[in-house]
Amino acid sequence: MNNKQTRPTVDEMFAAYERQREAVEEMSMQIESRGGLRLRRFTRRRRRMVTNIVLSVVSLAAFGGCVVGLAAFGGDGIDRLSFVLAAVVSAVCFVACTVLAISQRRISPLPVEEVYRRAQRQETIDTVVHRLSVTGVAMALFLLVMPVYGAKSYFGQHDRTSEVEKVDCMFKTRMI
Amino acid sequence: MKKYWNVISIVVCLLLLGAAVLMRVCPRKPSPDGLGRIYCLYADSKHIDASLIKGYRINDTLKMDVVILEGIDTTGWAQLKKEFDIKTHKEQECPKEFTYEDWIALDTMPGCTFFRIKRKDPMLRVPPNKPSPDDYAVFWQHGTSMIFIFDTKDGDEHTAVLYKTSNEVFKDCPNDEEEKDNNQINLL
Repeated sequence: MNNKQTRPTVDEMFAAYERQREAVEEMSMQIESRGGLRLRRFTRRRRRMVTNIVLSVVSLAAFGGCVVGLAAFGGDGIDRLSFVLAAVVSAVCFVACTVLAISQRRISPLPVEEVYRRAQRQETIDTVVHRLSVTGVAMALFLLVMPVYGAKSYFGQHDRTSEVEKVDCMFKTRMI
Repeated sequence: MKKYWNVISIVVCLLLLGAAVLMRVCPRKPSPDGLGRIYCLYADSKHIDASLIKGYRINDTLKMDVVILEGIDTTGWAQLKKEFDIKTHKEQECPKEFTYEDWIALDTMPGCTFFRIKRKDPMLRVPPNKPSPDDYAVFWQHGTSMIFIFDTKDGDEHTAVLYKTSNEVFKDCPNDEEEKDNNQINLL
């Protein structure tokens, strides 16, 4: 009698099988979605890493341009200020982009759950720094182009070169 | 979040554009302190052409501001002569060691005269052997209606300007070392 009572019926067995199957399906879906998320995140990190390397190179070039520009046209106040600002911005961007690129190169050894847990926070920080870097590089390039353009028109309008030549010419005359 | 970033990007672009327009539209006026004050005095004059050179290179380590004042016509030059107390050789008394012809010929010879003026009052001359931060070094180039005002702040800058004068003159004549030395001694 007892044996008859404890023995599950076919329906119960089928229901238990269904529950197990659903649990397995749910688990596999979870694993798939987390894996997919991780894959997507990994792809995004790779893409951002490449972008950051490009930005890093551009900001380094901008910094070099600032140094050259400062030596060539940096005589006038407003141009000098612009070049110095561009140099500072591009230097900060270079450091930020390089650090981001290096940090994104590392593949986290953490388990999926831990990565998943930290993802939101880290993702937000990465995104903010990345977008700020993009804006910074754009600003540095802008600041770099402006004084060169400004200096060109400045020399054109005021013919500063000829004024300097006048002083040079004066220095070549004897003092009486 | 994406929407916000778009808005921020547009705002940043507009700010940059605004800055660019401001930089183009705003006139570049020097500060009214120091040498800029003299430049501002003559910048709007019809008879005098005023130019300000920021950071003229005197030597490898020294740069200084220079103002060039040029009388465009006789009225402008007369005004400059009056205000900076400049007298041509013709207007000065001929010394005994010169004949009158030689003396007035100096006005047309290529050369320049050096003097120092008070920052506060360009009419006041200062002995050139006692440079101080309160005065400017001024050169008047003969045969032209141009004067050059150098913003020398101390004795070293004063010496550097004078050294450049004598050095540039004798640069192309390496055999004139003795004359160059004498000239520098006379200047200092």
